[in-house]
Amino acid sequence: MSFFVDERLINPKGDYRAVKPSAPLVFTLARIENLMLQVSFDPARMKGKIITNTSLVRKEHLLQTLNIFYDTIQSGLAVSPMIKIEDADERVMIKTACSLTIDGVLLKAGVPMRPKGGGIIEVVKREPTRFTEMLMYWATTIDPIDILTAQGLTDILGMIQTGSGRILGNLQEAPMLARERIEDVLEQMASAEFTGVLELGEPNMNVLGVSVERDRLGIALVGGTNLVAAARECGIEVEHESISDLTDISEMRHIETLI
Amino acid sequence: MIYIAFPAESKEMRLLSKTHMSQRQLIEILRVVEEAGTPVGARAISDSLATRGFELGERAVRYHLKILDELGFTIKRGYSGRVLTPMGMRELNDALVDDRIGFVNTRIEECMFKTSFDLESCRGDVIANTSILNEKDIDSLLRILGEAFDAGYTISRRILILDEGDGLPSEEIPEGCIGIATICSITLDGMLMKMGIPVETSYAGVVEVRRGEPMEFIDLVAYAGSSIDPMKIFMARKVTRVTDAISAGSGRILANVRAIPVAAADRASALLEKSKAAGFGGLLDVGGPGEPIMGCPVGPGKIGIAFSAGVNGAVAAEEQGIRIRTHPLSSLLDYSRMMEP
Repeated sequence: MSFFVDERLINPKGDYRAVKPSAPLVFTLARIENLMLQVSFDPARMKGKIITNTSLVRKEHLLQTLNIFYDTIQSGLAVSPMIKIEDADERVMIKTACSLTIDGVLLKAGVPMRPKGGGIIEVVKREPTRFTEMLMYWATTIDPIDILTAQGLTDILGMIQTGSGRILGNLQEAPMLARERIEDVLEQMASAEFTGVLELGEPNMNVLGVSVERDRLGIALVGGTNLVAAARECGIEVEHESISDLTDISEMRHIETLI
Repeated sequence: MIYIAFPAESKEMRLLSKTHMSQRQLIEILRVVEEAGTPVGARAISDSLATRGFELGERAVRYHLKILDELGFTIKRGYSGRVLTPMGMRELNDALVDDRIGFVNTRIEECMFKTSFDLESCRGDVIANTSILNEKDIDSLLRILGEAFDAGYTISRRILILDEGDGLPSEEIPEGCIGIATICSITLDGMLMKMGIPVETSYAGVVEVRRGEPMEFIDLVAYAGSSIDPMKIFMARKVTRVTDAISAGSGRILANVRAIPVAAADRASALLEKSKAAGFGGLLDVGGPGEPIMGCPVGPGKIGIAFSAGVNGAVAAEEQGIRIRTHPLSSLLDYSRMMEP
């Protein structure tokens, strides 16, 4: 995040202003594309790397956190039930699947995917109705989902308990020609328990209230960060970074085996 | 299809079920009713819609109002007047997200258009941020605002303690609380624009300060790519350390960047010099042609100008435990009414 403000940039005289950054900051879109490129997940063989989010919780909160994660996954609000737990000093690091993994797999299947942005989706009686807020990936250096979680705009618990609430989701676009290929890949992903498609749009038609470019179709996915937003709504302190890195699926376990 | 996250069970009536054009008309009516502040009738709504480019006769408005009443977004008040319900207010905030992405830029340009501040005479209207806080905290706030300006992290020393008539459109000042206006950095954008320079307010972000020197942006959000005001995003994230920047010389402050054409460089720097002499502060850096400014991208043929955010003072107060709510870009005020405390 702050790699331009590195000590190495301070010259011996302590003259900061003379130091120009070598390049501008990296925006989320570029970060996503760098990770999408490295996705190697094969849903048929359950092998390879997926894009993950990283959360840190205190050890005494782990069980409660996992239980909330489980309920959230059961409600269809996450990408995959696979998670990885690792000790990190006084805390525990939890890796969960990021929905952009699906973009990565589609890309490997030859579909030119364009991640557009993340937002808040209003759900009424288990039906996703529309985006109520949206941030474009090109426009921000912080993941939109992390921004929106911090704004306190989510109501994941409402969604889990009553079927109506506000959840995190994202939007991507692909050429409308690729629709069949996309459906095939999504089906393969679903059989590997990678779910979370909220809407696969019709060509040229807007998706949950956001328009798509000409001759393209939009796909709305649930954000993997809903898990963390739910835990935070329950009062658990979580340090979190979305779209943080890649994790090999073989290192991850089904949540049912962990609680 | 099995991969759909949660299958539909039933549908509730929503504006989304309407066609896009009809949705826009309904939302525009809600906006007119909201901005009126008092109960308004179909005639007045129709007139107001006409100034916004929506040609809707009184009868058509009445028909739409009936739909809005049924949806629970408006309610009759008095003789055929309408006001918004809390649900209607919420709908106004939530609907048509596509139209709201980048809408902050339109708000900013409206403000720039409305400013009339003239540097020669130091007269005219400036753009202000408004903060609301408990009356008992006012002395601490004034001290912090002064320190923030001296450190170069806000735009002006002048403030205005709001009277009742200066109330915000969005929020009333509660009993025992006090409203205070500070000058917003967009005021400078307005001055540049009034000189004939096309100004694009492009990014807001967090700037790392070390040994009293603003260094680089560490995070940025573009105004054009968000449905939420980027400045509000950073205020809510609580990642600032303005107080540390003021007292210890190292911390994190809020700032924003505007881009102007290269050809306007001389005119702009003359104006910035003049504004400094008139008591305006907060200028962080002026970039070279097409060069990133403090790590923030600037397009080819453009020059970036970075300013501290006018809200840094209020943000510092919040960091120091003062309960304060700040609305950036909230009103237009006569500069001569604003005083140095």
